[in-house]
Amino acid sequence: MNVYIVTDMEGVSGVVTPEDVQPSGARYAMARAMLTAEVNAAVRGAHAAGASHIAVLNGHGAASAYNINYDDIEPPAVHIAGSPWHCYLPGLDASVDIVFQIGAHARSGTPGALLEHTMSSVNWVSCRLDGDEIGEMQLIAAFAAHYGARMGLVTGDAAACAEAKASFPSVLTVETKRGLSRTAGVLRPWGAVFSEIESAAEQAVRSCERIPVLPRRGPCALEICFSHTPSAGQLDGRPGVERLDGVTVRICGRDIVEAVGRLY
Amino acid sequence: MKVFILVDMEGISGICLEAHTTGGTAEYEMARRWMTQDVNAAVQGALDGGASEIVVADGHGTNGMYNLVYHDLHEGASYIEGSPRDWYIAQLDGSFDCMLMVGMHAMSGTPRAVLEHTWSGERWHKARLNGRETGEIGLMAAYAGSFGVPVTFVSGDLAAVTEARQFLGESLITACVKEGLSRYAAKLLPPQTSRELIRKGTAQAVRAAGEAKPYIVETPVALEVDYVRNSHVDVIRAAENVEFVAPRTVRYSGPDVPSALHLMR
Repeated sequence: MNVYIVTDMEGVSGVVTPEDVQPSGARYAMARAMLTAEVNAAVRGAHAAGASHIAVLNGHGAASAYNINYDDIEPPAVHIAGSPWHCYLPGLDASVDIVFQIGAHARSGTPGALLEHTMSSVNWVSCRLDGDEIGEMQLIAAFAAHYGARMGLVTGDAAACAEAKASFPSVLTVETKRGLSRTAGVLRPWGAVFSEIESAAEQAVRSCERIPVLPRRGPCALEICFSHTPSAGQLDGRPGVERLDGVTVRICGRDIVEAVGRLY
Repeated sequence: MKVFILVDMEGISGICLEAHTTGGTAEYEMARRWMTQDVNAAVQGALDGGASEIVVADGHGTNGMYNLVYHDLHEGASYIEGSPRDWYIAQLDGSFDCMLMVGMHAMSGTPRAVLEHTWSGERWHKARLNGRETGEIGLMAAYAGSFGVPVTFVSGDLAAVTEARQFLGESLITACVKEGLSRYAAKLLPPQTSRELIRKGTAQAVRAAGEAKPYIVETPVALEVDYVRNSHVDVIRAAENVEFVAPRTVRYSGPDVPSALHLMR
């Protein structure tokens, strides 16, 4: 059983402001420790359920995408850290059976969601995949489906969990906090979250065979609306990319991996 | 059994960012603790393998070549810190039974190699030892070889240990602690796993030191260095055995490896 864990920071316990997930922020060190502890909890659960290989991606771009505390990570997980990468989700391939997302956040524009955004809080306004409004977790799920892997677990605030349940009904979720606005929320004591993540991870791996694989997408179109024209302009001239207006582009590919790959 | 341990920083467990190996950053302060822990694992391994005397040379240029965290070091070795120090590893001589390399990186230009470079990331583009493109692993192994000292262990990323086996033979004992995805991204082993590999590997390497062959290159020796810019060459003084053989290329030569390597800038 091969587990792939994508991590982000906005959905981690205790995090409520943009500064919390930036190295210059006073609470960043705390947020890193929380992230590492939540990932370790998921690793323990997956390992207890018999996962033979567990890879963890540092998916949060700040700090050169090295947000985990190396000293504290627990075997047997290997961690993918640093940037740049050569693709969207390095390490996710056909050998992966099940995908977890730790510290996930709701898509751009979700009301009452802590630190909601899609890909970039600064540059991206919204994203559609074949006409449907999507966020990062649906993009990750589309990659998982492409490689035949299941969506096993999503942790994050109440809005992220609700979004995950709506998109992938079989996924398990662990709610780390509830947003009152984009930058205010009701936090849960962190001890409770670890044990819930550990048992949910264990349960997800144990029930992996019974979770349906989401339909694999063939040729598809990603439509991205950026905040400002230069972000769209950077993609001009790339194969499969069409500029729809000043800030909107459509990116086509024979599958989701090719379409998203054109952003890199 | 007398063991020399050369330690560099780029191939240390957990390291993959430029900030990890550059002084004055919070990342560097973390990374030097990781370096210390990798070294401690190697010292323990060397002791397990039967070493009676261990000398560790801190070989990373940052912070005045004083990167290890003194108060956390293993009691079982002595440590060479600070600079200048005659030459990079001038304290290595024929009295040692083997050299172990910890935290090594691949030569300049190697794809998907964490923080790859040869000698100087800013100034050196490439280096050829007797015509063969060579990185620091090969250069230091040839230096040790000139004293009859074999290199029996190398730890670092996948690219570094692969390169080490190409130069030193497939039977070389190695510890691969990470795999580069780019110059600044890697798949990292967890710390305990990584240090266990280093401890076991160094123990095995010291035990087998008697059968190991030193890495010997033909003499006389010529080291050609391609520099990145003219300004890097402009400051090199013409001298005996220092030839400007092409724009931005300098050849350092000598009757043996140390005399050629002592000249390089």
